Amino acid sequence: MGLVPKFLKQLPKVAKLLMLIALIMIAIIPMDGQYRRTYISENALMPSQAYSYFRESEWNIVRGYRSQIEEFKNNEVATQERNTIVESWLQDFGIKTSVYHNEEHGDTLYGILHTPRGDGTEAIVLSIPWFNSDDEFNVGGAALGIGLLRYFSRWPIWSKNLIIVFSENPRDSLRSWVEAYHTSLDLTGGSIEAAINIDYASNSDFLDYVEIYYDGLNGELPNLDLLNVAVKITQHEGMKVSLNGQSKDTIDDTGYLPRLKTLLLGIRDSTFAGIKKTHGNEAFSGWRIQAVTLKACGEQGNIDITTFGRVPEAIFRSVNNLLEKFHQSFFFYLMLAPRNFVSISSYLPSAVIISIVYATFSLDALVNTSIGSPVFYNTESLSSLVIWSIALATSYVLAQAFVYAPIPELLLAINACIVMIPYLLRKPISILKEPLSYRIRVFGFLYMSLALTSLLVINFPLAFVMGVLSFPMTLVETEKAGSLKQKTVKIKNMICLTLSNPFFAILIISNVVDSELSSLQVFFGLVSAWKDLNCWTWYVICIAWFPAWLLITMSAIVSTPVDTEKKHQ
Amino acid sequence: MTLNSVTISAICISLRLLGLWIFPSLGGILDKSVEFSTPVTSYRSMKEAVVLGSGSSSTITFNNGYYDGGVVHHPPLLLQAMQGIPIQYHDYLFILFDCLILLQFLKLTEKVKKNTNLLDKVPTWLPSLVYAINPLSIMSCLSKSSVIFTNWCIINSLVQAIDGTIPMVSLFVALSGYLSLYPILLIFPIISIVNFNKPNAQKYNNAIRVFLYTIYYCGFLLFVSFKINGNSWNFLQANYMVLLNFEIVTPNLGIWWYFFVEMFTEFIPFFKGVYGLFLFSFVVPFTIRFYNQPLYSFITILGWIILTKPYPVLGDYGFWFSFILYFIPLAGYMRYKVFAMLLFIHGIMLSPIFYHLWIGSGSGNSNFFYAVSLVNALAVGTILSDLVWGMLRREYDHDEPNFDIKLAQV
Repeated sequence: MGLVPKFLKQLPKVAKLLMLIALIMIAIIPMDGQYRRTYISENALMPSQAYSYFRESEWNIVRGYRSQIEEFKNNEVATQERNTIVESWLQDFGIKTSVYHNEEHGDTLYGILHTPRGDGTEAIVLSIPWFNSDDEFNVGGAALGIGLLRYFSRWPIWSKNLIIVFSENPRDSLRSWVEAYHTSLDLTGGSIEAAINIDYASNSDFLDYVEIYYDGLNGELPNLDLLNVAVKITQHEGMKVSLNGQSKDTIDDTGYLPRLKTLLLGIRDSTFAGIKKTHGNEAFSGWRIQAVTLKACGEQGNIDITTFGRVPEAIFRSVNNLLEKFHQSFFFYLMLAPRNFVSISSYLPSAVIISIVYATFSLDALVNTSIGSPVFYNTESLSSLVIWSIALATSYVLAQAFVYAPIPELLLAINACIVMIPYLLRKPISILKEPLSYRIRVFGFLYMSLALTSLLVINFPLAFVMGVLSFPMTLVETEKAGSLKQKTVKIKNMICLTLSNPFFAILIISNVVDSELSSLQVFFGLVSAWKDLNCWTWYVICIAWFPAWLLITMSAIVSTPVDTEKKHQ
Repeated sequence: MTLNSVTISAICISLRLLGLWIFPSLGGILDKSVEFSTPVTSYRSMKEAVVLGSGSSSTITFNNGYYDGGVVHHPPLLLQAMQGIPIQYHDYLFILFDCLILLQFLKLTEKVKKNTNLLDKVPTWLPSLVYAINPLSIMSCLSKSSVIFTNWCIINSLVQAIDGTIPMVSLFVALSGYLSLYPILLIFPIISIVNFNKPNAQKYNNAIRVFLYTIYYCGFLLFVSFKINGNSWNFLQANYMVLLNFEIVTPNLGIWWYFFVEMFTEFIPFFKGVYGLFLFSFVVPFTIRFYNQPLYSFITILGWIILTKPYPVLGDYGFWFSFILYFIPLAGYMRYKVFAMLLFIHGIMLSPIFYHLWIGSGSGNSNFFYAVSLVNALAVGTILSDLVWGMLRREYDHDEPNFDIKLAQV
């Protein structure tokens, strides 16, 4: 036997080894020497190079606004009235305001400061949702935002328009405004270069540390330069930065494990972006807007509100310096710590290898069968192509139906039934011949591989998670000389199919890794992310993963063996 | 299982009608995608001309001013013909032409089978069925890309060439060249098809006749266009110089555009010449080298033109893939079937994604998309080299397939 046939016989082992390599490649990223320190790539940004003047003199003004805004909360003032009052405040210092009315998602008040030195074609957004992701009233944030804009309005240095946005919430309401801004609004201030979200949901003058959120929808990330600027300025002002919602006591940890944790949390947050609570920066995805959220955490620390206010001030001044759109730094990266990152070249190979794993299993199902060498064209290929199209169409219909009627229990029950089919069927079905089973398997893995490849550049975290979670699919055995007659094999198949079923897998993983997405929450999150935010994770799962899984399930059904002699080219 | 022309046509029509009716906006989206539409083939610009023409008052001189705006790059005769058909029926016209193409495929397979025993194991209906269900040709049809008319002329000329009816052959070659210039190069393999199995004395005679007829038809078509276009030659500039000079530098699946985006102005004419020469330089040598396998040399040259032309679309590939099926008897010789297929599938899957990353989300850049164009070109190149290898091996084995001998490709 030559080297190539020997190699081909070992394909499943090779694929498993590749999977291991892919995981190791991710695991070694947080090791010293594998990651890089962040740096500002665009020279024009110059973060914290100018002195920030938002200091004690502004404190009283912020306090004044805050006490007024607290009244809104205490008196339970309706949105419209609240917007009218804030509108009058903004108009006091020369801001053009308008209210975007939306029956479904709530009204959004926004104002534009048309700056004297700008040509009116570019803008920076300061967005302040009235209620933050935890549904707390954003008292401090609103007061700070108005105070900041009042302070900005007295300065002649701005070369980009400044926009302040008060949306009802950081999710659908803000998203609908962003969409309207680009499609239907009359009062606009040019293309938005960057957006800063402020979340300061306490009436305390002090805070403890700052959380920065950056994950966009559909795998989009803000340019690393903006995130670096935000981190650098925050740290420059003496505040501690937490990424991906890490708690305060772990901020200062350094070392392999904390970095790995931040990395994995980043992958989790990006995978479930839009599905879990959104912080506001997600709303700007898809319009070439770089957005981050600054969240003030704690009420007891020794950092005061104007220090926090200097962060947006300095970010605005940095972005204001830009002559071109953000393009210099990375758009694809993973953060390991506020000041450590890896770029796409470090982690992409891992996802590529995962995609190759499935291609290898596909090749294995093509080559290592009892039917002899693969042929260029045969009827099995054609029929599996048809079966694949049917699986795809079914998945699409299922995805659509679930969006209209989200009943996770029913969805899971249907899938449980499908999982049971290969187990319950004892007698071979006449249509399903052994070569066909193998061809279906070929197509299933090939499709999975293709889907992962398409996804990995656009949304690496999702591709990675999908690739890892659906790995048990490759352990499902297809009939080989009556092997499916054994009960142990059947049970093993059933377990593997359950674990790799997209819906079960997503359900399990969301409950394990994310406390926000308990029980069946993830399914409602997926649907609402599509409806409210245009986040297509649900469709990716249904159209990329589910058809492949259906095909593999079909290939695990007992099939009729075929006389091997007949099949030759 | 055998399928006759009616069944396949029914499959073809129903798939396209389903696409048309279930996804009414799909055609427009595809027409805006770089994969299915280029400035020289897009339906948008054709519609522009049709609307322009129907509004014009000078129906006697036909001076419609099609080319004044610089967006229309379709030949005047085609535009005049399209103008004669109400716009709401255009969708169905394209479906009809797709149907005609697959009927020609059926005819072609029948004729090839009659003349040689090469395709004995290949079902007659296979190429046309593949054309009918090929997603690339379905989407190309829905996008109403004018490439479909060129393809129809190409396959007609091939079928006529096998029959040996020289005037018709020349007519269709001239028409295809008239519609999109580069297929005129197919005249060389066409001549070898016409001359296949003919006595030597007739060969020169035939070649000269094909040439002269083609020149005559070309001249005729151009002159009629000149008249139709209001006695103006500006359609030459808009239709053919645009291709030769690559005047519209816009991203597409081809290998030209990226070079001219960032090249120093001084070098642009030189490299345009190089690319043009590159396209042409393989056509005649291919024909001469594979003179005894004219159908195969025709198919490889067609693939070569699609690979190297300035504005390729996926509709071209959908058409070409049905031709590749004629190589099934040589499939045993080919070494990179799976590799090339996977490469091509990845290429066409990734191209809209990378285009989106560049133009849509802005997180990528033009290098991303050109990388995919290169993957595509590599896939087609691999297929071509595999086909050529198959032809060489066939020659080596004197038409009797011997898949057991392994030969080094060096």
